[in-house]
Amino acid sequence: MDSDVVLWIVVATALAFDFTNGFHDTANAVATSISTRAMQPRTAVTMAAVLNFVGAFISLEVAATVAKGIVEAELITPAIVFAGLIGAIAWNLTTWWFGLPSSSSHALIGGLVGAAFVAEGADAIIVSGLVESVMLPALVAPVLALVVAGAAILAAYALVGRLRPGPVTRAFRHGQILSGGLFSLAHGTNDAQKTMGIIFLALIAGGNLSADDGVPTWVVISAALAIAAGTYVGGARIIKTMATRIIKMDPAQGFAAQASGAAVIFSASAAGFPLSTTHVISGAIMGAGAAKRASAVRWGVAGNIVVAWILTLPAAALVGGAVYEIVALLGTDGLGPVVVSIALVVTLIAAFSRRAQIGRAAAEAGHA
Amino acid sequence: MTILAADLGSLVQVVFVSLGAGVGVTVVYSLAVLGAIRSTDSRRERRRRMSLAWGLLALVATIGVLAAVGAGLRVIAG
Repeated sequence: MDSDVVLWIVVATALAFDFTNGFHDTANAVATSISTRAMQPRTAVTMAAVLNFVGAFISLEVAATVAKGIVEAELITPAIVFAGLIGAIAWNLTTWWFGLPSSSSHALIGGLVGAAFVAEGADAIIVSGLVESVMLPALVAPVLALVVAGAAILAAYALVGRLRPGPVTRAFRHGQILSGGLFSLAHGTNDAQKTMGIIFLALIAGGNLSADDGVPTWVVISAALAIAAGTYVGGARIIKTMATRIIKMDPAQGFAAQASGAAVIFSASAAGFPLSTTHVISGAIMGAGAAKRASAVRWGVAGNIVVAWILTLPAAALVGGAVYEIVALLGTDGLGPVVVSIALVVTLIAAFSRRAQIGRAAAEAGHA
Repeated sequence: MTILAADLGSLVQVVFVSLGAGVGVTVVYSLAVLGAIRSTDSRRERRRRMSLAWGLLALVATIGVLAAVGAGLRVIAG
């Protein structure tokens, strides 16, 4: 089978991942705006989709890190990239199914690292890049967002805390259109670039580009479109978790959380860190909540999110490694990626059909 | 050759820039809210000069927020 066919399967899979990333992470961008009633859900989701698209064009530093800073690009083949992507998609959909916010970014990197390790051994992994560009920022990001949002809301309350609450609430609701927009823009900047980096890596692995080339424009546009489409379709289950189950917020807290989250993601994007937007906004929401009253945060739900953070990298790496074994068994140059792609699509259709049946049965039982 | 886009120095820079930008934008927006509400209250109490001063604070702070956002985006895009 033509190796270009495998490459196009990888590109299509990467864009599918980008779509699920937008779908999964819609909550990050819009949860606080919806929770404080600053925006209607559909308006917030539409704005997030448009700004995710625009944000994808702002910077390419993160794409460079994903393509060249985590695995040795010369040792990577399109089949490895494909297996990593399937690992990430499988983990993303599993956490979406159970309504758990996890990290699409760490799922992607975990899947890629797992597949590269199984295929080429430890030599394929740039350990220093993985530690400095992924693992350390993964630890720092949520804590940083928590501290920044906490300091921001305390400063805001010091300035406006003694004013009449009605006008303050209205003013911060208006402000949340700006802060929510900034967060969506930041999300597009950091997250769409991960897919660009993966497609870029696949093009290098397939011999279509050299590591010194820039990211092609068609890659930037297609990644931007895929994440925007995924964001628009949205994820109501995770929005519910993020918007109401972590903490009830006032608009000032929502503003502080979104502005702080956007600040963390923008500054990390400029440095080339592929951050998890989920980690950042979760930390910021907790910081804005805990600064007002520690008991206002539902720490049990926050604990579940932390467990998902801890599991994401190793779980996606395991799935990525296992998928590579299956692909290698069937043939890395053709049959393997085709069969695994078809199997994934069939599994998804079966799972969604079953879910629809269960939903209909529950609705009928409710009417009976 | 391994190309690392980021290192520990960059991470420290991210920490300080995030703190400055996140807290800064929220504080300046809060000043805009404070100015706007105080300005309205002063106008109701017929204290024109105070109303003008608070209104000026609201205007400058609003411009400050927009300028900070614009400057931040320019730095990242640049």
